Amino acid sequence: MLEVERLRKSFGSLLVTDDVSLSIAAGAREAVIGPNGAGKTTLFNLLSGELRADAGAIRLAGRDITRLSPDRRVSAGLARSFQRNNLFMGMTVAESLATAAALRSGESRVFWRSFARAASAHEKAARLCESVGLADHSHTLVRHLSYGSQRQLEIALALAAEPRLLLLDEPTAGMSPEETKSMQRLIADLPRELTVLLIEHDMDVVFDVAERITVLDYGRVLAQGAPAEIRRSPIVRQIYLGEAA
Amino acid sequence: MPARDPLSLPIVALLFGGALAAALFVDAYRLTIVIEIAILVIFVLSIDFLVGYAGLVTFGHAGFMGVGAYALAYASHFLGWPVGLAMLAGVALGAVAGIVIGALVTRVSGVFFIMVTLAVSMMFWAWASKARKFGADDGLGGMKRLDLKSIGIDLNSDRAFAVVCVVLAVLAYFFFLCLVRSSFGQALKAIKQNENRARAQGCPVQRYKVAAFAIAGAVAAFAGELHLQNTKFVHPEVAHWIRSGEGLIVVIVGGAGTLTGPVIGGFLFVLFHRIVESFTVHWQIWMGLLFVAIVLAAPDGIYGRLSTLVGRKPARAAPRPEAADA
Amino acid sequence: MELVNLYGIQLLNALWLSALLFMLAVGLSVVFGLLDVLNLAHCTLYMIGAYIGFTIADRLDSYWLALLVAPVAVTVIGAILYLVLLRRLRGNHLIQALVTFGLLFVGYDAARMIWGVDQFKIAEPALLTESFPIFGQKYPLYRLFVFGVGLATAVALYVGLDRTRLGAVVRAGVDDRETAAVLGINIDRAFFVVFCIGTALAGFAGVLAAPIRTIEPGIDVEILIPALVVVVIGGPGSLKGAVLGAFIIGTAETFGPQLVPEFASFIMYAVMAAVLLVRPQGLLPVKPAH
Repeated sequence: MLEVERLRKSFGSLLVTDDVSLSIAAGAREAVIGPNGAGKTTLFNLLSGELRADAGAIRLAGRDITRLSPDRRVSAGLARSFQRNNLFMGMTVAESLATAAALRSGESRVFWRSFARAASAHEKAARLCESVGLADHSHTLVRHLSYGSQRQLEIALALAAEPRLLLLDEPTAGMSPEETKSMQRLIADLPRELTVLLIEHDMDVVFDVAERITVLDYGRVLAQGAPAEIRRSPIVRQIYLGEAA
Repeated sequence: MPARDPLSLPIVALLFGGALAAALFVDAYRLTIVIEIAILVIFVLSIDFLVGYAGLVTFGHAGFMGVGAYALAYASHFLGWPVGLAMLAGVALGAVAGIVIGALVTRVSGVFFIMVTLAVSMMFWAWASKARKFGADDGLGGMKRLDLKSIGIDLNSDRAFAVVCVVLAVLAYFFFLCLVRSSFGQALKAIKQNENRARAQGCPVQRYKVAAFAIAGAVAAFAGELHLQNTKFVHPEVAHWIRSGEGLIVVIVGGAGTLTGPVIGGFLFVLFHRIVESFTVHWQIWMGLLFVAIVLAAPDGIYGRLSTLVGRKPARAAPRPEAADA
Repeated sequence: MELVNLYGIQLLNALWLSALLFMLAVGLSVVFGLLDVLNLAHCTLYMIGAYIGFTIADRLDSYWLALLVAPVAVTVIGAILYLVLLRRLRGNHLIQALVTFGLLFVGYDAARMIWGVDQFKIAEPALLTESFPIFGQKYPLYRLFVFGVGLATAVALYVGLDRTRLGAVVRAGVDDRETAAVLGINIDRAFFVVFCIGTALAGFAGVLAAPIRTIEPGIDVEILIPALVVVVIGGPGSLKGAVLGAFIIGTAETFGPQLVPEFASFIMYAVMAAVLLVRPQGLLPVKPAH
């Protein structure tokens, strides 16, 4: 589903992504981990198009998306959630999701019919609300939502883009243990056809969700493999234990 | 869905109804006030569409009025086209100008955007001031009004012209109301609130902004054409920064992003102008001071305040510009 | 030979205009780059400087006194404006732009109220009324003086930025405002001083330009547009950008009417459009583009 070939990115003289290569099969559940500053979010930004790579290639379902703008990548089948909440604060939950649905379906090109009448967008929004557990808050303003609910909305919005590849950037960041458990269940319940790549710091979530793990450090891929291998890998223990020391 | 705003329709009905009544019954001098209000309302509605709904704060919107006025003057006065056709051409040109300018200015954001929109409108003014064909600084008279005698309306009668202008203002209001309530309008709302997220949801943001500019440009051009037919004179001042500024002031003072606010603002502005002008020629200083005071004390404008007081909507924060660049 | 003379004279004209634009744009640019304040009324202070300068020159019959006192007066006005108004609006560009735009209106009318609508000019100082022969004509010494002052200002600012403590603070602040503030450098005081310097330069430019350009209401916006264009194409917050931008626009505005009179008014905007299309961050931005 996703082929990343020798991706490079520098900011001035700082090399933040160093020859990163990845290959992710359709329906896979993969995690990217690494210490702070390893370049995980930068990698996501390169994948979603917020940043332009200096070198390398990205292919989504065989299609080269390296030079595409972020919105074109969405139509190609990619969607992401953000590490820090990046929402439509002035809208209600249902409204945000309906807006996202309308953007995905092309309904938003319609300028003669009222948005309130865009039935399919609103239905889809209602279903999404239900599936991420926000049904009780569907008419709450996003800025009045609890932090945990906002994180749920982050994912719901990404799902509204009907992706084939879903990038989740630290979905459980800042969450309480109960909220984290909910999020874990949410991710586990995602449709199997959906390919999921997530960045996470919470190792419990990683080992629960991921079938394969990529470890990044200093913008480079340090190790890749099944969770058990990674857990045993001395290099990985070094960077994490070294970090804690 | 956000609750419909029940205050707006009564207020708008009152104002436009009053204007229509005035157009039908008042004396010749007051008719000019009615016409001025109607044309200003059309102009500021197009500004509010950009500023309040697309989040594109333009400081040079009068440039489009200039495009419309000069295009109409050229087509009808020099090419001899029927005024109706010339008006269509002017509106089309306004849309094209909107696309070109929009594509250019949306490459920058925040402060630059402001600077660039101001500069570009003055470019038109600079050209018009030197354009000898149109009388340069002095302007050119002898412009014709649309000929509607075939349906029994003589627009050369100021009263008929006033009534038509008020009707057009009402239509403009409903045009924009429809637009902002549409799915397209919803996409603009998303762009205004969080452009980055809108893009991450697949919205081709720049294209939508350019589309907004094209629409706003076309409507402003139309307002410029009405202005031309009102004065029967083409003059660079129609595109001057002062006019842009007045339009922006009306929108902000009335309440950006409400459509109703600018309508209120338009009425108040013209009346304020006329009243202060009868006392002193220096009305701009008072308007400037009033504007600064309102921006500081009530940035959501008169209608914004009204809505908050009546409890229809939560207090809005001061309007923020679109996301700043790096 | 004729052509050389013609272009030579125009080049000299371009130089003095560039100097004027530089002195205006640099204040606007650095204040924006450092304080993040867009002061659309910057050129109103230029206009006020010219008017006050005129009044002083007229009453006291001294150009030099005008050149000295007017900038001080303008700085006082600017300082009050900053302390009372602009300081509170830091960070919200839109409100700043709107407020300073409102002040443009106030200034425009205030000028008319106090000085009327007549056109004024300040007489050149006795020392500089000479013209001397160059390029087959007699070229006014005063214009070269203005260019010289502009050049000296650029050099002084460059040295100040590079060598003084204030300069270091400014450079740090333009580069990364938050960190500089967190480091506890007295950023607020530095901001204020920088703002005052920028304002003083505007008033200074007003008096310098007065013997060449007329003084009348509306000259503020007349020069605001080129100044804004210079800031945009040079890159906001950049001293070198202001120099380069001023030179480009000064040259364009001088040679334009000469070479392509039909399109003269478009040239400046065409340059701005070109820069925006190719390098929207400016020609010599403070931060290199990512």
